[in-house]
Amino acid sequence: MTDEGVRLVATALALVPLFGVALALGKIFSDWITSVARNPAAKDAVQPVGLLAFALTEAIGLFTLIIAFLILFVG
Amino acid sequence: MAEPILPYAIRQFAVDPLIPIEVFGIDVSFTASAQAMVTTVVVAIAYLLIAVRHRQFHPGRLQSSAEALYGFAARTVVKNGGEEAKQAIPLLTTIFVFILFGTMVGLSPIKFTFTSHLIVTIGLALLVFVYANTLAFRSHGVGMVKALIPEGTPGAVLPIIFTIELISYIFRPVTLGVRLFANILAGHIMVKLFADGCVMILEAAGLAGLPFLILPIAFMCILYAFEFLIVFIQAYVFLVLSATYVGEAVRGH
Repeated sequence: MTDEGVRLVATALALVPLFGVALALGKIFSDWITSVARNPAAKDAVQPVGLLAFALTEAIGLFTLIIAFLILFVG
Repeated sequence: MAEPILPYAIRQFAVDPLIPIEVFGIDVSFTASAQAMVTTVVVAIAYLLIAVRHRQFHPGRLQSSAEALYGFAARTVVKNGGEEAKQAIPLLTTIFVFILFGTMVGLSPIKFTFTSHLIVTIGLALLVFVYANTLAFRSHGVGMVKALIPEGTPGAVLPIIFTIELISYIFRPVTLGVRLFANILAGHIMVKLFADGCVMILEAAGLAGLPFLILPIAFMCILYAFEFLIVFIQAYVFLVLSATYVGEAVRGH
């Protein structure tokens, strides 16, 4: 395999953690919806926590993106 | 080898020096990034000053919005950092407004977004980190190190726990900065990638390609709306985490 090929494979491998992020995001939103559906009065209490959890989890996905960019373009 | 012309999605992050200045061999040019920051500060200060120019007991629309902005930031800090974080409200609110307005200004077309550069966000995060550590040192002295050891840790594993806690503590500003930077970077690349796609279609098919532009432009509009949400959430997350760090630093655990 050429250097360029190795680099492309490495970039693809760096994006594998997105699988976990996708599962986590699905879990967050499903729990959010379930909790609001079971107890609509809790909507305001759940919202900030849900948004925070969403942003923190999404950040992990974007970390992988940054690593992928570093592998692809730097060095 | 000639430099290939990068797509605009990548090119938008280039920092162009507008007024080249060099002091003792160090490049301190007034760049597009600096210009965006100055714009942000001017816009934010002008908005807040005009909003409270004629203070009224029954606030008008503008004054209400400014009060809501400040009240939201202050309430968030107290809720997440506790009463001890109250002294940090001015600093954290300023950073919140700076990030929020800066990224909003950056969302306007053909305008530089300074939060899409790691050096800026890490700088803001380090500011909070240094501030929190100063507060911790003032209230606990050298005993602030005890915050890194969970209560009831057996003596045998103490060095390992301490090392792990220390590393995670030091990496806090890094993750805080990188989180904001990565979100804004990814969002801007996504929006501009569709714009690049439109240009490619026009180059390949000429004016006959116009009907094919409807879909990418519609996607761009949706992503743009999504970006506004992301900007707000990220500024909020930055505020929440900074408030938590400051509160923890003062309480000492």
